[in-house]
Amino acid sequence: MDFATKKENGWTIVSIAGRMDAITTPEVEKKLGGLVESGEKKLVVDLKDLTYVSSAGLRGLLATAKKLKAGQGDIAFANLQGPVRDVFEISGFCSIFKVFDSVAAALA
Amino acid sequence: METVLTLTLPAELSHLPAFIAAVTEAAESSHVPQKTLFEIELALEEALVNVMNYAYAGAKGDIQVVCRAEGGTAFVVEITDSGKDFDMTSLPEPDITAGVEERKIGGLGIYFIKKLADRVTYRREDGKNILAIMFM
Repeated sequence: MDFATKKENGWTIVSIAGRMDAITTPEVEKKLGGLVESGEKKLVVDLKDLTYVSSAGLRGLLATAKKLKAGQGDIAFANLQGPVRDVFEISGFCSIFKVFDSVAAALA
Repeated sequence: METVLTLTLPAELSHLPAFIAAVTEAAESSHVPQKTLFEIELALEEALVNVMNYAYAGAKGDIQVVCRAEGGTAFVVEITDSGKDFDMTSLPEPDITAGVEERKIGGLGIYFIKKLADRVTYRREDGKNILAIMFM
């Protein structure tokens, strides 16, 4: 699992690569939580290189979204690939979150 | 159906990758299509993590995974534990339309198993939970 961040147009773009499963998610969630605690309010999560996500991964993303909403922040997701897109659709995450085809579209 | 894998390991999260690797390999050897491989992996993780987190309530115990295949058309993953009585097939579906603030953290894993598998059966036998997840 790889985690990288950069800033653009007032948004923080977070790239998560690899897998978000029951083993790797706690580390991702801790890093996302760290961003929120350090005052980041607007996150675009780029999932271009995320190959797998389970309910544990979704729980980590949802927990981060809840923290952001509580502080009047915002979160969007971009570049969902095959199985990750399927999981977002089955879980209803596609309808409760802003999901874009690209980071550029999320920032527009 | 032919038994293509029997694997017993402790019910601890650290063994999750070994279970997933073995079942994926067994499914690949049984000519299961790529899309189904992903569905099997996800359903397996959800079912195993549930047992690892709850079945033995902190005590030690094992999980046995048995895979059966039939000529590339059906693949069954059977998960057995000796923990407390738990029939996931009887649980209600989570509300997947609730917004971010109301959305509950939990219940999704079992929902995924039911959505992805073609058939899920549960039986309690000799003090064991036996969950069979079938992909056609």
